[in-house]
Amino acid sequence: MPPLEPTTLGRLYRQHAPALRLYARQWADGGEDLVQEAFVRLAQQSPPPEQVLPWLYRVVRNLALAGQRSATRRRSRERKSSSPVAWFAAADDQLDAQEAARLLAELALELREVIVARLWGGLTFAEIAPLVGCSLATAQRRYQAGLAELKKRLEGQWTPRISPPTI
Amino acid sequence: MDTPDLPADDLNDLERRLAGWRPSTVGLAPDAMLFAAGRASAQRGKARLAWPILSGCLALAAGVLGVWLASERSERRALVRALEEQHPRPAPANVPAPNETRPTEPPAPESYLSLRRAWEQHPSDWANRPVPPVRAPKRPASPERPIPRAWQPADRL
Repeated sequence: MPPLEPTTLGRLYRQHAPALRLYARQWADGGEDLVQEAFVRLAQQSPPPEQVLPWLYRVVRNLALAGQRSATRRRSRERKSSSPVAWFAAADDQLDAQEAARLLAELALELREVIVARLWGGLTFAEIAPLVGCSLATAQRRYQAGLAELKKRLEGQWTPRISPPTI
Repeated sequence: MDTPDLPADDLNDLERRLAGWRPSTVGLAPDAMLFAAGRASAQRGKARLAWPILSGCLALAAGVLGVWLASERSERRALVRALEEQHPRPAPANVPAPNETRPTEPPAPESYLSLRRAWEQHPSDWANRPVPPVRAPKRPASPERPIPRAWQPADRL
């Protein structure tokens, strides 16, 4: 089977690169280079992987973990970990994007990783479990625990915006 | 890890709300990615061609060298033949071959070879065979000169 067509590759990139970069940012700041590298490797796969999306997440995760091991990246990550820059373009009407990113960044990595892969990556738990190296039940538990944490923080964070009554 | 029990509706509402947060797209460039992918695949394609080209060149060089060596050898042999025809080699002198067979002496009747032959020819007579007298070992004609010792006087030697 030939490698993926450039049009397919471009469509996949436009569709999944933002979530993939958000996933990569759990370990490394930036993350654009990791996502691009993952897609370049995907273009070289002949035949392409059967499950493209889990494959991309695995490559991004491996690249991020490998990059994290180098001292330069670690220093950079530590420097920037306190301020998750522009993880989201927009949150919702009750929360701005910066605050949403901060809430997510405060979660433990093992919870955050599963939440990002499930909510924004669209992976199933059966795909997330081998990706993060745990059982299916553990992946589901982490997801629920992460959601509960986020809910708690959102409730503490959220203050209703009362719009003035229109006369 | 504790798993808090959240009502399913709450969970779904929360999931919907979180899923509505849109990851940032700033800095993502599909064209740059496609360019990098194309360049990488082109470089890979060149590398894929390198080995067949190299092995083809080596095979061609080996064939050319083989043909050249064969023609060179045949020319040399033709030259040798022509030189031999012009100046034939003198025939080698007829040197008598050294006689490698030495004149044999009959073995002594008490030697191992004689005894072995006698046993092979008449094994039944071997028990009744008279035992040859044992000859005393021959003494050397001249006794050895004694070795002079430092502690022995010379007149005792």
